[in-house]
Amino acid sequence: MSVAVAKRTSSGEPAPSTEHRVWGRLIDMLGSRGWILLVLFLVLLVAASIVPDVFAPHDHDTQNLRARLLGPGESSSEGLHLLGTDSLGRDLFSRMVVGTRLTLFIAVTATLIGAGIGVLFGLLGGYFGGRTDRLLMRLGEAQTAMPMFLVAILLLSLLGPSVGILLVVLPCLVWPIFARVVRAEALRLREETFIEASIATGCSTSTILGRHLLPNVAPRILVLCVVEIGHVMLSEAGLSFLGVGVQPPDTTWGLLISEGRPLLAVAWWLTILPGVLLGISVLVLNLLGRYWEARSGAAG
Amino acid sequence: MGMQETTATTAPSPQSRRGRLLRWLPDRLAAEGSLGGLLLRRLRDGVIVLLLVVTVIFFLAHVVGNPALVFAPVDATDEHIDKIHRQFGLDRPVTERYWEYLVDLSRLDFGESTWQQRPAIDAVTEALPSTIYLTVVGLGAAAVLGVIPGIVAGARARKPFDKASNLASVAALSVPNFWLGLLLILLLGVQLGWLPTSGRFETASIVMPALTLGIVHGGRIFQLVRSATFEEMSKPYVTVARSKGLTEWNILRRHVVRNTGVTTATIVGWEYVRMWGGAVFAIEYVFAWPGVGLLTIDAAHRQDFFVLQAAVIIAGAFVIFSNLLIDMGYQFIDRRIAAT
Amino acid sequence: MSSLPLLEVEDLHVTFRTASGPVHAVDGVSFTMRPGSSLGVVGESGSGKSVTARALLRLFAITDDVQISGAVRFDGQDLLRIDERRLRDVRGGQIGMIFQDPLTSLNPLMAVGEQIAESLRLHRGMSRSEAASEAVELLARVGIADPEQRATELPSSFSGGMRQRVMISLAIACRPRLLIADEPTTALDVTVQAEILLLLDELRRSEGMALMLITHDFGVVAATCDDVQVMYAGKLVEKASMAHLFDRANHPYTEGLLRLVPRFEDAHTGRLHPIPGQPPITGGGGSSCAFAPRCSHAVDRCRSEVPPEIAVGPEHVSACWLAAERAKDTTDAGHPWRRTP
Repeated sequence: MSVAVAKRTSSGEPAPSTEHRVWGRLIDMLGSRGWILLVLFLVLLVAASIVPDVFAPHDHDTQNLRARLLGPGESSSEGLHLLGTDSLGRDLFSRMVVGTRLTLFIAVTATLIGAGIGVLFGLLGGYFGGRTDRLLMRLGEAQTAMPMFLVAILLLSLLGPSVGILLVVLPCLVWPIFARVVRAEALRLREETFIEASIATGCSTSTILGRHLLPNVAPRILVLCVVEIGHVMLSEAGLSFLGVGVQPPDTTWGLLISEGRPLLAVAWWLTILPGVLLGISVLVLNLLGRYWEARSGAAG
Repeated sequence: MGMQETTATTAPSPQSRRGRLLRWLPDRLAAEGSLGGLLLRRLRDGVIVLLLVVTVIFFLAHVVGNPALVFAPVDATDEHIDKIHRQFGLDRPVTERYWEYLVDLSRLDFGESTWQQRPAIDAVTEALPSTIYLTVVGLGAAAVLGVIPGIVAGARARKPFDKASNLASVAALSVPNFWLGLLLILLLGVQLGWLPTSGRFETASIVMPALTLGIVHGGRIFQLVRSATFEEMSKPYVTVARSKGLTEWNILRRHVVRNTGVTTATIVGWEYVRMWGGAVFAIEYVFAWPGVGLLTIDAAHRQDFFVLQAAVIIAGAFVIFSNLLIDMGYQFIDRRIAAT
Repeated sequence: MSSLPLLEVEDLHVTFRTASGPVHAVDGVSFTMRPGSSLGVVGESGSGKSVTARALLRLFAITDDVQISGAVRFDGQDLLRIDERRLRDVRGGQIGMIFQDPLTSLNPLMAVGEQIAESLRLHRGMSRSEAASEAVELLARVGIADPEQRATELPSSFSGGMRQRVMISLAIACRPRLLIADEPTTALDVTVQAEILLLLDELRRSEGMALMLITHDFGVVAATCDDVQVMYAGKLVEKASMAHLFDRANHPYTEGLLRLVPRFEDAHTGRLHPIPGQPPITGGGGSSCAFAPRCSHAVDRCRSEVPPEIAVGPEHVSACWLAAERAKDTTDAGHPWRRTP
């Protein structure tokens, strides 16, 4: 046909590959050494979540009513508050450092669980085909058809918001992406001659899937994981912001934004700065994922 | 948000091609390429999806949790909870209750709101038009912010405007949407005092939430339209048009946009469905926009199960329905073009 | 027959800057064309022949990072130095162009008549209705039956050969003085190929246009062109009149290409004579003859110095160190495409 519509699935969206070009441009702009900066940023984040005390200049929970709502760069008797303080005089930078651990933990764990489910379902769909495949795919389709964010709010409110429940709800949002990639690869592999050869030499289907399929999709899955960690971070932040995610006294960047919101007019930094950090992290993860994809040719 | 798309069921699996399994009538009709068949199949799939969600909700409320606790308001006493237990006949077998639940839902009986003291469905139908209004205006903003820069960037790829707008779109997609809303409140509301920042009390109230939605979804539309335009610009007929002596502007206007038109329309259509996947609800909360999102979040804070459930199911049905309309519209146009 | 040249290309260089370094696609090409003459440019893919043609009108993709130097004098003005506006007047108005793939060269969503009329309205200032009726005449001119009806149809209802006819009518719509045809028959069936070539030849004569035909196929050139030039790795390696070249191909590369043309005598042996090796990916920049690695006649000098264009006959030059001695050896090969003047 003449119309170059990126062929779309029955309820999905245009082929995701079209999106890569935009990222491709950005990756070009990064230059050949740019990824070092990206990795450095992530290393800092991971370090901050392992040993927050090294990075945090103040105790994140110490209240200091005489140093309330200090702006970025102001000092109290405790010393410099790089990013200011909140309404209880707690140091924002230290709180962001401390929040890194849970933010990363939830995003990484939820993504890995989602990836696990997705890979499993994708393999099952590709392995059994037919009815199982269609059932699993329809399940995935339900994700697009439903306002999943509302469903997530309902589930969290039914089960009571907690980190544990978040680790159940968030994977539900990401597994279809992984399932789709693995399933597509499984379907493609079935047509390949070397698979036919393996069948002819008596390999069982599960051996084939394990030995040929997983190594084939592993690079793409890893790239997807990196990118999806960013998306899960955004989802967690959204749910925490709405009060159905992480609950105080635990803290994540999303929760910090939420806590700062009532003071937006008087202390903008409490809301804006954690969001900037979150945005940069998501961007870095995205860029790194696509960079890796472009370099390894894992785009498939 | 992290909500993503899924894959096709349209591609026939080897099994179905062999015809081993009894195919349903809609499948067969759709396979024959009739629009009606496709519509039927999509309707059926939609109903299955809704049924699935409803079942999960029931399972969580009745099997995992204690339904009496779930149904009770936040401040309910033990006595109150006992009353609820009797009132809902919660001592009867689960299967019986499940059936009853389905029957109630099919009658659009979603239960009584414990917080607003009225049928849950009333609260939702009251909020729904606000959300639809916001999403439609937001989509308009997203289309303006996404389509025009997308076409220009795609046509002038690798030029400064392309680079700058790429960066902007990626930034818009990397920051949390609710945070973007807060940033706009800070800049346009608090600092400049130009626009109302919460509620829906005057005409201008729509501007900020719609703009926020527009930026978030415009970013995605931009990326897709840019790619489509870029791809179109590298086709041989564009070189031919250049060899005829047409200006770049005329090539874009007379040739390229005509060819990417359907693609662009569908990109915008799908983005509408995506909007319902998440962003709009958090943005409603940020701007206290009295729509389904705000209602749902309030209901969640007040543990009002019936309103929550009604909101999810009705919004779900709405999304499924609009998705279907968009798909059908797209198929219709595509076939019209294929026919000419 | 020496009138003022219509087109004078002088020391044309085209360099693409790519991620993996610069690619010298065209490396110092010079040639001239007289009004109404026909010139065949022959070479393998990657020899720079298409890039040469595109460089004349600066027809590159917006994303191509391309550097052009030299001079392209057409009708007194240097096309490489005039501004965009004047270049657009030349494009389609003075120089028409036909491309390889007729399937993708037409806008799939615009009636063919409209696509032709677009050019007419632009360059000849016709009104919408004048242009529409002229488009119908043009379609008839290139041999499309029922042109009135066909003008309103989309390209998808035309066959490949018919689309190429539409492309030709589009290119000649404004009576250009030069028609550049870039592999116009490569994507077509053999029988259709012949028809299109005949049409081009006939149009050239009747409209008095000059024709520059770019192809990898000597058979195509033989049927249509008076002069030939052979390109290899971005350079012209041999120029001659058609008849002269077939009789006295001088450059070893030309010789190899001619041997590639399946001959009647070889039909029973079923043997083709490919040139061993691969053409270089990037032309130019070297200090040797680019063809030397594949050349069975190569001597030491070929690997250390770039050969200049050496005259070996009237209007016959060859860029080969052995040109002079080879010129003596060449005997009449009695090629089947040899044309009687």
